[in-house]
Amino acid sequence: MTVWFDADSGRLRLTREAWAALLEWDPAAMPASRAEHELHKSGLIVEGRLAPRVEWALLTVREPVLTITATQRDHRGIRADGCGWVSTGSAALLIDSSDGLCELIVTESTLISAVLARIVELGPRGRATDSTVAMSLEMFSLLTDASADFRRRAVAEVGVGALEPLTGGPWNLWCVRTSQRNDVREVLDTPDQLWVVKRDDTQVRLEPSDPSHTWRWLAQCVAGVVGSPN
Amino acid sequence: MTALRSYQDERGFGLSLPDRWYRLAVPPGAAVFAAVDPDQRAGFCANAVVTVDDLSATPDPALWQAALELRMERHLVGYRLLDREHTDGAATRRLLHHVVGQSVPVTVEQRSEIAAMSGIVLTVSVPTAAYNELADLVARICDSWETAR
Repeated sequence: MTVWFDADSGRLRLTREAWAALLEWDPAAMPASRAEHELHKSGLIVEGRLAPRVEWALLTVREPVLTITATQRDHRGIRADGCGWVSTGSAALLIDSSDGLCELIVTESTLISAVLARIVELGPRGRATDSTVAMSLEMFSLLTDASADFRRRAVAEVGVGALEPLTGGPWNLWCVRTSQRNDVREVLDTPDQLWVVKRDDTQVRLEPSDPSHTWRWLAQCVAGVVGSPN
Repeated sequence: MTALRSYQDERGFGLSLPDRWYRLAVPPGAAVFAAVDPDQRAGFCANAVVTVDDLSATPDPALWQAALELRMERHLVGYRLLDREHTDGAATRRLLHHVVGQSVPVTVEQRSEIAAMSGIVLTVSVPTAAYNELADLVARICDSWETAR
């Protein structure tokens, strides 16, 4: 099964191939590919019509006011990348899930910041330090490598106690980028400290931050699109 | 910068709020003070509410703080606790998010602490769509918060 659709909740999970077929779907044409057959079999298309919630999402996907890309990778090396499309009324996000499928999340555009906070699991964290840490790009790659041994050796090399949680985890390295003003925020999230990651051509700077400042960034990055304050 | 007006309450708390916000009458119950911004932004009027829980029977601060979070989790739609700091002994600062009405997202800054066998909570709520503009004002309001501990 490459498409899984729950008509009651509107939850849609599918492969990237099926997503591509959905974007190309033509109600006047007979299903030709395996992916198109799966779209029909899942109950997503009934009597030549898409489920309304997904139809609504596709309108946003085709004519977004703002696009979002999100990447994340945790201490186990598991990636959960996604992309989002936001219009003035609605938003859709397509996010990788751990079983190899993607999940389409359809929501009101006003709730997009909250959905992003849920996806990156923003929540209470410690405040271990107020010191910025600078290192080479290579050292940062080792600090956030899938190999626990590389991470342990890199943490010892950098010698900053607040980075100790990187050795065992859990931690999450995530980045959200929007097409509006090309806003980007990369975050290294550990239980003891949340860091904003600033990169240039040679160096990475980890600036101590906290969930409150991160929420403020998430709330503002789509504010101009989803309704300015009166 | 928005001018603030100071309020002192005989129940042992004080705070400063924007001049334009007006006080609302509160019915008898846990809420003892409420004030609201007359202007609606993004479908929501910013407001501040103070509640007082009688803790004479359950004076364990940790239990009361945890119960407060459970209560919000149960009653607020789309609740997410975004941040929590233990600022001073039994005092806790929280940032949280929830949804009201027709998908109006609200960001809440909260201070909760034990004072004179009471659990006292300041809750300042603003529309999330205007949070970036209002965050500094919210911080000033919460920084003005005082209790007679």
